[in-house]
Amino acid sequence: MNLKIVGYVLGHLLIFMGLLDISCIPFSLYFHDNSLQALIFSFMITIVCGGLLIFTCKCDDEIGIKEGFGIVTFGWVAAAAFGGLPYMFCNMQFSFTEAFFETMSGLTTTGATVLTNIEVEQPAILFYRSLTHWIGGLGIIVLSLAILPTLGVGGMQLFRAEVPGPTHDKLTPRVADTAKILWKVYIILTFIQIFLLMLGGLGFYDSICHTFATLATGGFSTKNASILHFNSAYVDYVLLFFMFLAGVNFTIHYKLIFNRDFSALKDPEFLFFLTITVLSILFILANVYFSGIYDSLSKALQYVSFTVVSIVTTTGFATADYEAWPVFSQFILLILMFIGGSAGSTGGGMKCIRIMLILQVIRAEFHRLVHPRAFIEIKINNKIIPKEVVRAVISFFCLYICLFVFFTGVICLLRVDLITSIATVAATLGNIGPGLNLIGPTDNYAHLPFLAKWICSFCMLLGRLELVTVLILFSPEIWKK
Amino acid sequence: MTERLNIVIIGAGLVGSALAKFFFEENHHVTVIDRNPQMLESIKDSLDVLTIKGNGASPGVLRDAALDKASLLLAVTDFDEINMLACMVAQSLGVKYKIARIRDKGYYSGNDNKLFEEKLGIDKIINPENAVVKEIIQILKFPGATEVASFADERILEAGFHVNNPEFNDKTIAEIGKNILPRDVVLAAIHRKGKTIIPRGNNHLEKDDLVYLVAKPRSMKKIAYKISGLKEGSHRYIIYGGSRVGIELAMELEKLDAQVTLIEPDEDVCKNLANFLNDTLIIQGEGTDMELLKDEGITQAQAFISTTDSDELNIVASLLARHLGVKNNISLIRRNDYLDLLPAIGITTVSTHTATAGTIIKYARRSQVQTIFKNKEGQSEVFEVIVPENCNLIGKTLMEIDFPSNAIITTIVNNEGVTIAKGDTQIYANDRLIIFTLPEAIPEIEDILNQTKDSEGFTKRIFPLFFNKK
Repeated sequence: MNLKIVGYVLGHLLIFMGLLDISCIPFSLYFHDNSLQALIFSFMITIVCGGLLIFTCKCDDEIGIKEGFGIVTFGWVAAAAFGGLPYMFCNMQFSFTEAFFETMSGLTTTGATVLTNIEVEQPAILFYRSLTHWIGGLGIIVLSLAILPTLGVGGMQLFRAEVPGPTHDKLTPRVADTAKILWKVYIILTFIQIFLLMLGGLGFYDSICHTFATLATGGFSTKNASILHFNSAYVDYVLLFFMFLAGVNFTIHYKLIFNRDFSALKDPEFLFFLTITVLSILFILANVYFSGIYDSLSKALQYVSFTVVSIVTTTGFATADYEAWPVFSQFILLILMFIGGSAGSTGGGMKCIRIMLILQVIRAEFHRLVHPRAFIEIKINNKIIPKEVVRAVISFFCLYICLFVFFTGVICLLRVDLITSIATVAATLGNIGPGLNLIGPTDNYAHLPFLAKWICSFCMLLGRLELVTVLILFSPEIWKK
Repeated sequence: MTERLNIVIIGAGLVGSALAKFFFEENHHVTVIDRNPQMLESIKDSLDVLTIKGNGASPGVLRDAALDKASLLLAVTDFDEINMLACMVAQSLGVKYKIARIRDKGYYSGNDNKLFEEKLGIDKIINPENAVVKEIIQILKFPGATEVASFADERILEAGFHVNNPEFNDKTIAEIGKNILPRDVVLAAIHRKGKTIIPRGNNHLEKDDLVYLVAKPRSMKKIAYKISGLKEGSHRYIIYGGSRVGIELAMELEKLDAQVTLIEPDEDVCKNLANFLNDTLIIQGEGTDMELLKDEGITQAQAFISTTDSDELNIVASLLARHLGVKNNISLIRRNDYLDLLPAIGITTVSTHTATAGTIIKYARRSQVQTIFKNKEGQSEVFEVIVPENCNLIGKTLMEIDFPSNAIITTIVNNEGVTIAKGDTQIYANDRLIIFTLPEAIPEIEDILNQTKDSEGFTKRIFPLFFNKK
């Protein structure tokens, strides 16, 4: 791997991260909180390190496949490391581990937190926390691609390594233009949601923070009780709607908004995603309602639909303590954590398209038993999926399960109980946030052992970059000259 | 005499020569252009037409063929691009009607018809595979039918069946008409041992007679099962051969919600098939592999259709399927020599070039003669004609007309609907008559229809080529 070009691109990324720090300063000034110094310090450190990297590694080599993986993975690690500075400067209880965890959780849009009392933190820092979600949602590398045209060379390598999904359709001939289109959609949705939340009586600050966390399918709130704090059906349903939108492939939004192409709604992955969501809501609603937890059906519907959408889109906002629900409902939620949103959305998990493909593969195998000489191709939406893609998806599925089992084992080794271990790995690998038992919707990750936090951070990175981009760096071949 | 037209045909392949033969026999001036001198030679041997060797899309060659004086261009080479280009040249030379054979659907699927009409000047696109698939689908709709033709916007059908039901044996036509056939079905002709007769009440039916019936689609379906002795079975169809016809047929059958199994030996072809077919079961194997056919449930199949590129393979596969108990066997055949042979052994034949030529002729004929159809066996023909306003027949009943004995008016179509002709049916102006006839009777029919109140002959109306383009 050509480390020089990796360092060069990373330098640009750090400058960009530094800009994030100062963009929180207006809030700091407005609220007169004590974060101004911390923000300026972090900005300066980040900028200087970035500048040094650019200065020392300056070159005009091309970004190859290997460099693409390196840039994306190291870029995310560096962003999480330097992005944690404001937390450390501002809250003296935060060790580097916790700061790194919190930033990684923000950037990967997981929404798992180690803060035990959110409301005492400085408003500007909480805004910064939501901002990491928003920036991480569509990918920090893709964003720098869209902003810094000098990095356009080899852009597809980076795009492929960072944007989730088994296949990558470029909307435009140039990858930088595609990135710009995705961001345009993202920004439009952001403005609409902020407006709608303010209409519901939220202040501008709360609206913007929650909007960032919704559209990135993150899950950070500015309140201890998460969304339950507002106790408003209107807010719940607005958030639910936008969480769902964020879990849908952004190219569908693009076609709807800019091309008025309503046939995009017939996209099979969208329909699959919708079906899974609706079915889960119905099952859990029946289960919860008949066990008599909520006295009115409308209340039950409000809490159940919000929770299901929050989990399936891998957002992780909470309104209800689903641990009080029957076990079967919790089981469905756990399964949803693995499925996740659509490819090309900001959601995490394995992605619906992969689950659809795996189901098709299973169906085809049964078909082959009855007709041994049948010629069967795996198809989605009447289009043949190339064999390589099918193979990649199957191996992704297996790898996901293997990693899940492996890391659950490791966390168990750290004497965390079984349910918590399972939920921790499922919730971080799938970028969801809240899990079950000790890390349930009313708890947080603060009490986990030091090592477990690092494993969680690593799982979040793995899940966000879809395993292979990160794991490939452990292969010696990447490092050969 | 018919008005003579100059017709230029580009491409002397199977379709081209079939068209040349047809138009030559109708007394038109035919010029055939092809690159291959051998093909031209074989046409010259059998027909008195002008042949020109050269590229049919080159303006020079087309000018040599006096295309500017022609009124109809038929571009039917195997190459879509040459056919389109030829039509474009013809457009600039002012030829009135241009018909192009285009196989690749990618050229005209969607809404590009305007482009074809205005820019390329193509009046009608003929897709050979499409034409033959349409024919196969018609036959499949009426089990046991050897061929099916439609008239009056598909409100009336003519179909041939082999009698395979003891109920019909050795009965006179009068008895059958009274007791077995529904009232709205006309038994128009019997073909037995190479001879076709228009039956009278005292003729007998025998086993394995080929009878031609004329009826409305619904009645035809009912009678089809009765006369051919077939039972309404599964909706499983087995196709052998992933040729263009095979693919298109499978696609059409998919639309009809049929269960389709397509057998194709070549892996790359299978891959291509999988691209187009979504509900069809594609089996990689030989259609002549008896075990494979049994495994895929051929015994319960409603029909077996062989559409490979080899006539011989198609015939063998169809024979095998027949041996395994499939009643409805259809083979795609290219060589004319085989066309007459196969129906005798219980295999229905379809061929791309006759279907294409048939479609082109149908189009070329639309005016007063709406449709003309030549039956495959025997020489009988069916045609549809509109009674002119000043015809002598108007006001008479069918009984009063002295119609030749080897022709029959089967159906009358007018604003009130479709009437199956009986002795007391009256004829009005602008009625459409659907007439079943042997060729000998045609001059006599022309005479009868020609007895008009003014001088204008009917012949001129019966065979005008595009007098009015709508």
